[in-house]
Amino acid sequence: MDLLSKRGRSGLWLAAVAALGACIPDVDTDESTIVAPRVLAVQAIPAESAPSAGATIRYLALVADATGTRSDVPLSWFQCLAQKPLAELGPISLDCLNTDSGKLTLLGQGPSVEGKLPSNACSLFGPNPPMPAQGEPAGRPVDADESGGYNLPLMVGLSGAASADVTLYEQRILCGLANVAPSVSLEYTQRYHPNENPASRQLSVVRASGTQVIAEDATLEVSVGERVELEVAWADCPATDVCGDGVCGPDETAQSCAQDCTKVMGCAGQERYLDYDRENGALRVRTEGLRVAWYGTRGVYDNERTGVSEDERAGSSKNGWTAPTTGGALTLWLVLRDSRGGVGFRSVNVLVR
Amino acid sequence: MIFPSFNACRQQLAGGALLLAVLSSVTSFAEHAHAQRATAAAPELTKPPALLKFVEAPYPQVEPKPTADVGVTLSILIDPTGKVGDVAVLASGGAAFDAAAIEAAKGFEFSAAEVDGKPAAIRIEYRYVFTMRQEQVVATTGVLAGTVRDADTKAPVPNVKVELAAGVSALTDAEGHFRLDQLPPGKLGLTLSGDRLTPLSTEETVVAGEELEVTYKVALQPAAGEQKGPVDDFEILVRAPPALKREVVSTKVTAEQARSVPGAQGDVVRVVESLPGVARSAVGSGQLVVWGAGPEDTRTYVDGVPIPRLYHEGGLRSTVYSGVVSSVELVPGGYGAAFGRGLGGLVRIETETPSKLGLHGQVAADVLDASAMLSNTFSPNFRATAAARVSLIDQLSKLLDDDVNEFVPIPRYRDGQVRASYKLKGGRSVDLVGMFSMDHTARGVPNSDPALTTRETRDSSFYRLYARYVDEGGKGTRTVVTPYIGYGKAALENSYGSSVTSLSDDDFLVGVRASHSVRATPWLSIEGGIDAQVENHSLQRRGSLGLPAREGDIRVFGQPPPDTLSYDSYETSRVGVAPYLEADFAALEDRLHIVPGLRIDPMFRSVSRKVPQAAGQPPIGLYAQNFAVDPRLTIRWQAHDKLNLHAATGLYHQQPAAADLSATFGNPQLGTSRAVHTVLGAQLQAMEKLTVELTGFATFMDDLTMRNGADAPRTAEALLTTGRGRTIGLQTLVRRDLSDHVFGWVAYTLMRSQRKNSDDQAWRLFDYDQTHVLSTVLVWTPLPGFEVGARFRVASGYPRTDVSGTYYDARRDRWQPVFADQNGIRIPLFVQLDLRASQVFKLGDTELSVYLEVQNVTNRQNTEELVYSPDFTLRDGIKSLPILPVAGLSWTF
Repeated sequence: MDLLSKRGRSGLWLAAVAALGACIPDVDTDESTIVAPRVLAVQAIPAESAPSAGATIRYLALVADATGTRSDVPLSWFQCLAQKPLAELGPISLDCLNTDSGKLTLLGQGPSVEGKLPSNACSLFGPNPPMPAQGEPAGRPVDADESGGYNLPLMVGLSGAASADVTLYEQRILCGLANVAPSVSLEYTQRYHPNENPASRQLSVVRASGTQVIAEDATLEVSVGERVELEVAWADCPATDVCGDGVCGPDETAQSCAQDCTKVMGCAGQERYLDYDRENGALRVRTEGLRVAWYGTRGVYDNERTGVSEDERAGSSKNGWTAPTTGGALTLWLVLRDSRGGVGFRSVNVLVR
Repeated sequence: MIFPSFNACRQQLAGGALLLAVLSSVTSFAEHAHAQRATAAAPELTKPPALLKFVEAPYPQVEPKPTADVGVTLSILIDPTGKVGDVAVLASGGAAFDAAAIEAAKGFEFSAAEVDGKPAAIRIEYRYVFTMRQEQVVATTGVLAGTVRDADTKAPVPNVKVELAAGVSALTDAEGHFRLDQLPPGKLGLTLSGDRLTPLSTEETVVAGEELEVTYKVALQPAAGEQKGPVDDFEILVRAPPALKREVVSTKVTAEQARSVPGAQGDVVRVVESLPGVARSAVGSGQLVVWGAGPEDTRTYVDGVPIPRLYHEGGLRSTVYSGVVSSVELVPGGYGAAFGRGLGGLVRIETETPSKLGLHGQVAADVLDASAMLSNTFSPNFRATAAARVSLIDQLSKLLDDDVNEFVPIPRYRDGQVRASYKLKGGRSVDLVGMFSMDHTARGVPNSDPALTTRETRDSSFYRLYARYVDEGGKGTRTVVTPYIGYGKAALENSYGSSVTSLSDDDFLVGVRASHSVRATPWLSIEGGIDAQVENHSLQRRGSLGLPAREGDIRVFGQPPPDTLSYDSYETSRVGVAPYLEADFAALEDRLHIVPGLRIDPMFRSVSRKVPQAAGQPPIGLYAQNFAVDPRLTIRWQAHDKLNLHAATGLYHQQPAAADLSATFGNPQLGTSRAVHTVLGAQLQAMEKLTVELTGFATFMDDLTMRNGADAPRTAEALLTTGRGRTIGLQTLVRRDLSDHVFGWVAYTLMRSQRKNSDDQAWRLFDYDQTHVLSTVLVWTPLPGFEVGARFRVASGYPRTDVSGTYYDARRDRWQPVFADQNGIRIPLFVQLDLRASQVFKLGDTELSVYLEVQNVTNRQNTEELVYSPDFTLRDGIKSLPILPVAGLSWTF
């Protein structure tokens, strides 16, 4: 009867052992300081799309190195059409890491590319398994992620080959629901609205002397070793749906609010969205969480990651940052990620005097 | 039993045996009469005397015993009233026979003789014959004889009163011997008492016509000024017709010894960790990995009743209170037909109600928990015990910083047992037992990044209620019936960021285990029985397929679980009704035992959902059955007085776990798994108290449940029974039983255990493979009451899969590992020395025992698990606990 995870149980106790002193291994790495070229984020515009719509999606990568943002590094973009086996506990099939697998389709090269979703994406990566042969049982639909969505993998390689420089980006694809009543499926189709990428509405620096908004192309000047607090704010998404507020929310449809939903208008902050609760067999409205990843070429952040969970509502996130002890120019970046895979990013030029 | 009887003799009176002779009295009278006739006529016997009352003489006890009848000719004077007067011997049959005959004749009664028509005295000649006769006597009583010895010095103890409940008693002589004859057959309660001896009660089964030889080793109270160690039990060796012995490889440890093993903090059941064949589990896991079988494949029984877990969460304490445990036995494989439904080994815990007279108990405490036990003998036929334990560490942790309570999974546990033992007439007894165990742990790791905030809570509990009826019928006959019911609950809630996993499993079971063994002939013993169980589970699971992890999953410690989620709610029923039969054929003067067995195990199961839940569709269930025929064979050959060879083989089946029958997360149509065990070994009695065992073993498993590796699996087939396993190993045990105040053992296992997920895949190391496991235990009592012990362990680390590369997951903002060959590296070797010292203090009639254990005396930095940096560029190990002293005390009254 004991279904508690055997390895999980051990993990629980090993963490305890480590916590009890003199047992914690030193494997911490600085994930905020950028020293070598790497992809910090990938953004898809639109953030979510239905394969059947045939929309063209633009993909942008934020590439950084010790000198700052890079737009000239050779990036190869591949769409991976390998289904992930159930026995694979990682996010993608291992074939996606192998250019000889025949599962990778080159979309293009450069800091950004455009592409379309394959028409069978919801079958390969979504709830619509292919029709079985006569007499054979149906295939197992892919499980949705924690936000109820499905994702198609894209591989972004700095050098065009599967290596440590490979970045995975999962494009959210808009599919229907599996194993639900038709009425629920219809309602979901009407009320679910594609994700909008989060965006930094405003970046501020808070000092003892006051708060200063950092304009988009402005340079932030700080003193050597100075500690400041940075605050990134995003759009204040409505907590309830009001027709005409400029946001098509989960309680609105094209029929009920054409003003906001004829051309679906999202919110670049903590959006509310519709999700299917399989446990209770009902649709429910959830609120996105927002995470902020902080990077820089120099200096030290108080926290490498901040954000708000789904259970919290906030319009911003703060983080302390201490300037380096030597002067000069440096770059800071912040990447916003919402629960549905939407991404936004912002960079800041800093001059340390 | 028929034997010659010299206690009775019947005179043969038929046909002329009675000789009457008219003797001299008549003659002398006749002569007188003749002298008179000179002047008158001679007297005439007109009516002879008749024997009215015969007296049977006891047959004299003479040596050598006569081989033929013995006759004594008597001269008997009969007075005119017919009474016997003078008796004299005319022809002797021997002094004893003469005296017996005279004594009997004096009791004769005759009718008066008449001479000339008038009553007259007369002397007759009478031949009394003593005849030997064979009689067949059916024994109606038995004999109990034995020796009482000092448990420490082994010296015989004189003047110990051995008294039966009926009042019959005997005193041991100078050699400690005693003997009680003519005892009624059946189970008899008896008490031993004497100087410096706390009265002890026990029971023996006496068989009519047989002599039961016993040896009692008793703990004597220290003499004035002397201190002694804690011995609250006494050891009994009973040489009686042995019961059916099935297992060729089993290690049994008494509670007394198990309590002294370092590293276990006095927890008797934890001795299992130090027994041969058991892999060393990671700290805090409490996993039992025996001979390469997974933790879920080894079964644990308490008095024949299955329990779901042996240890509380964290593996710090067992779920059965030590005070009621009489023995712990580990059978790693090759066991007999009485048990099944498992691919791995058996752990059998036998419990008992303490037999001390009166009210007794124990209170104990250490940094982990506090416990208490109370037992009372209400009457010679009724005893009861209650025990309970509650964790203290969770209470003490409240004194620590809140962060510690958040981060460290402080265990909270409870367990308890209640027992009542009734002795019935005719060698029968009934025990009623209730037990429970509860666990709760919680941990939370806050983080400024909500995606890295984790929280986990675990709750588990089980309850069992059973009765155990034992009928010792005598002459090797024994009947045991154990009906039981149980309830259990397990719940896990784990959140990693916004990804939530939850599992709950409520189960109810009812079953009965019954056996009847008889000794059909001196060379054949037979046991038949039934092992029946019905188990219902109600499960709910929400979360990822990848959590909980399964054996064979490729992942690293601390890796976030997959964030694809699903949900299922379903019920299962599993039924097994397994009759079994075993026979023990003895040959070569009881030196060779061949024990074939057969267990027929029809297994039935139902699942409430055949396919995943679909809105608007009623659930369609599934019913499946398997018919398992499990032959078993054990051979034991006492090739020499000191050398025993043994072999065993058998087929074992196991139903799929209820949690694997989910249509969403598993496969409702999973079949049974199968294993073949083969064991070959030898045991050498190197010295009186030193045994050396060498055992080779091999197990082969088929149809193991594995993850479906297909790219496009079918609905309700997330798991398949395509796995195979094999384990080959060699196990040695050098064991010294208690002698000269020392006991211990050295156990070493060399083993290789492998799995393959399907036939088209290569063999890989089993996740719990441990090539080398060495466990050395030594306990010494240099002074009465003072005990020191050491445990030294060396174990290979578990296999792990190395990370050969990494890629950045931009959606989740984390690095993902690329793995090398599965289980291609190992956690480094584990080496640890634990020490223990304990002292018993006498406080009036009570005892206070204090112990101090120091774990990891050398403060070695053993690695418990491999961990990686977030980008997988660095690898290190989580170290085990440093040198750790643990103290505790117990008060026994």
